[in-house]
Amino acid sequence: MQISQMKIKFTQEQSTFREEVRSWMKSNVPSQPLHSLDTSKGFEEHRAWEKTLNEGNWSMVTWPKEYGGRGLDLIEWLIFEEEYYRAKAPTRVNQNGVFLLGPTLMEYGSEHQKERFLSAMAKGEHIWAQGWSEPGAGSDMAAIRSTAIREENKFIINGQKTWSSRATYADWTFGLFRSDSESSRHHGLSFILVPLDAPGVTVRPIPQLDGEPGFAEIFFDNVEVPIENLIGEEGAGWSIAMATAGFERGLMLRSPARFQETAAHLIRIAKQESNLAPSIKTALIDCWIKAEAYALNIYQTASKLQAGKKIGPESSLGKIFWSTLDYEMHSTALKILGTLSELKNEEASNAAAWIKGFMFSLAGPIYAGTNEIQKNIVAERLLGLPR
Amino acid sequence: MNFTFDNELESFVSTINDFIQKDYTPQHIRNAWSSGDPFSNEHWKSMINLGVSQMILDEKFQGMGLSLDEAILVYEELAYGGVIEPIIEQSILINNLAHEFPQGLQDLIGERLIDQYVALTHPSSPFVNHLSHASGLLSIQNNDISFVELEGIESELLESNDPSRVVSSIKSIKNSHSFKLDPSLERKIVSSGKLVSALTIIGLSRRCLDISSEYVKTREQFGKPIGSFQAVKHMLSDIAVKIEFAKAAIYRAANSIISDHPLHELHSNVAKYLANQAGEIATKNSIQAHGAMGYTWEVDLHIFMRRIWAFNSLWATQSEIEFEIESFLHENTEKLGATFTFTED
Ligand SMILES: Cc1cc2nc3c(=O)[nH]c(=O)nc-3n(C[C@H](O)[C@H](O)[C@H](O)COP(=O)(O)OP(=O)(O)OC[C@H]3O[C@@H](n4cnc5c(N)ncnc54)[C@H](O)[C@@H]3O)c2cc1C
Repeated sequence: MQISQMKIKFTQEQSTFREEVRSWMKSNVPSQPLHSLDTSKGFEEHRAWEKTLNEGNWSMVTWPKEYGGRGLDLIEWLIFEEEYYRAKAPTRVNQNGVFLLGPTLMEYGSEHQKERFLSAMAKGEHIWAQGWSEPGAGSDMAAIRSTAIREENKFIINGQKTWSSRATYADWTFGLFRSDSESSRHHGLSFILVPLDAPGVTVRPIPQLDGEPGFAEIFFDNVEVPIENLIGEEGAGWSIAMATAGFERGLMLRSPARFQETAAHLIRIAKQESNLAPSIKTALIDCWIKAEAYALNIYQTASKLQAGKKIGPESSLGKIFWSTLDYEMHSTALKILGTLSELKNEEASNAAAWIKGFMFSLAGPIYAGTNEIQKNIVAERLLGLPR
Repeated sequence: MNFTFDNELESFVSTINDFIQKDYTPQHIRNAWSSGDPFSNEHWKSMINLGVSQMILDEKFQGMGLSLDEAILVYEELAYGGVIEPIIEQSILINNLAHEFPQGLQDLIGERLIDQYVALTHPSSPFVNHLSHASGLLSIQNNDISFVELEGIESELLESNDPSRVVSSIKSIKNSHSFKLDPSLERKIVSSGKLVSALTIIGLSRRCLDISSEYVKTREQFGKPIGSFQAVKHMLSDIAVKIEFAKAAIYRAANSIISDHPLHELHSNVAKYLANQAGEIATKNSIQAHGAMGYTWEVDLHIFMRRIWAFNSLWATQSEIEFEIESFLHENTEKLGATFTFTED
């Protein structure tokens, strides 16, 4: 056997870490699934789960210890995710916080801001919503019109955000606001944190395809926010937001474990059927291979990051890949489930979860920047095609 | 877990890239094609001198004994160049595994591996490439591996759709030296073959994408470069996505072969499946992005596309890959899931 630097296997410490996660999950993951996180009851159950996770120091294993993390590396995070999905642990209601705002604060926040927000986030005391989109600023995010005008030690915020995930029940939102009313496009925007219970904030829930208010509109009417809530420099919001979006499109939003589990589940339901059309068999193989390809790619990316390399527009490739795969897996599942795939009640079959997943998989090519926009980014920034 | 390459190889890869840019241009390939015998002894020697075939040859044969997974980017770069001489095949199928061959066979061919071309045939890759330039032929059949000198071979010359490939079918073999082939070694050879074709297709797909990206930046219609049209951008982005998500699977397959991973066959099937998909979209969309130019012999694109098509079914057809993966999934359903990918058994 030849000696190589490339080691595609886990070390003893990594395996020991995996055992630790596995046994903790075994004794802590609720035996009954929680209610949907987009109901008020379910939201609080999920908040309580975030707290439980934090008590085991599992909120975000890559964070430094002082903020409730374990100071671990990305490979260990991937291992954690594998065990998390394997244990069928609840959806992370604070995804916007721990996976997006967290890394942003780590990079751009002041010491005071880190102290104020990171551990509250880890404990589930602050559940975060994400406020980029506006009615007139979707794919064209630089068309943001909501304003945050500086008046001495505070900002006065006016305008409207929309499609803000979790905002229906969340405590805080982070967002981009125009702090220079004379500015246009990506100039003059600031990255500001706003409590959703501040006077002048109105949240209007929007029911999604599954009927539940998974996102919301947020209206700001002369909302006063102290200057301490500004992240980074005033007017430097765009580049900070791009970094956050990079975390989102890159590894953090969708670790491979989720898709590997879905692919495995898909193959299990297919195995119960004796008569599958050849096209469905082909799709099964295709889905499983792509879930593998995604995992291999992400481990390689994590290794590169660990070796000090950076990822830039490459993260758009991943976003296109996983969102396309997720749809393919769910639409294949519905074909296998046949007439059951109409039934929404969970008692009748396991189809309900697939239907819900199917509908959500249709949002994958839209949120975090549509796939058309990602393809533009790939063409212009990776391949150098003209704008 | 460290899924990265040794930094020292970066300079080797750029040396190969220089060689391709300077000495292995599309014009060279065209000249080689029209010469009647495209295998160039000079190019073969240059690549030997660069160390391409010794790199992963065991030290007992005076090789450098590097591991294949480390060296893989070098071969990918050669594939990108569309090199005519079968040096990638020789390196990965033979040199990389020679120290595991039966001892008698090692004694017979060991000295040739450092600088000579040894051809190989197997039922899943039946046509022999550039036979007239081989110093001998390894033939694998019915659990046997035999070596035969060129004089002992009766063959028929065929015509490949890829003029870079000069292929023959073997009619009969005389005076061969036969050895029992350990089935586990044969499986490794087949996996290596799938790896060679996957890697070749990915290198070539990258080349098609580069050629197309350049073309759409310069060709103008409606007063602007066609690359500014979104339909064109998206065609090329689709290629980039498929290439990106085949790469790690290919490197992984290489790692599995050299580390005797019990699932190296699965891993090489996965690699080839993904590479085939990338190759398909790379060729189809590249032609489309070139318009009628893409349908000509004059534009260089086809030099590289033809090789992709030729390698598509080598060492495993699409049907074989899918059937093998399907039966694996069927028999191992309970093992699948988030912790399966890096299992070691
Ligand atoms: C489930 C879900 C959750 C979301 N959560 C959040 C959140 O938490 N916070 C937040 O701020 N936003 C959120 N969004 C909003 C999301 O970011 C936007 O929907 C997205 O950026 C697209 O904007 P849009 O909906 O206005 O569509 P539009 O921009 O109007 O696009 C409509 C169609 O036109 C295409 N299109 C637009 N411009 C171009 C172009 N230049 N080239 C090619 N095609 C183009 C798009 O690709 C799309 O197909 C969420 C969306 C969904 C579905």
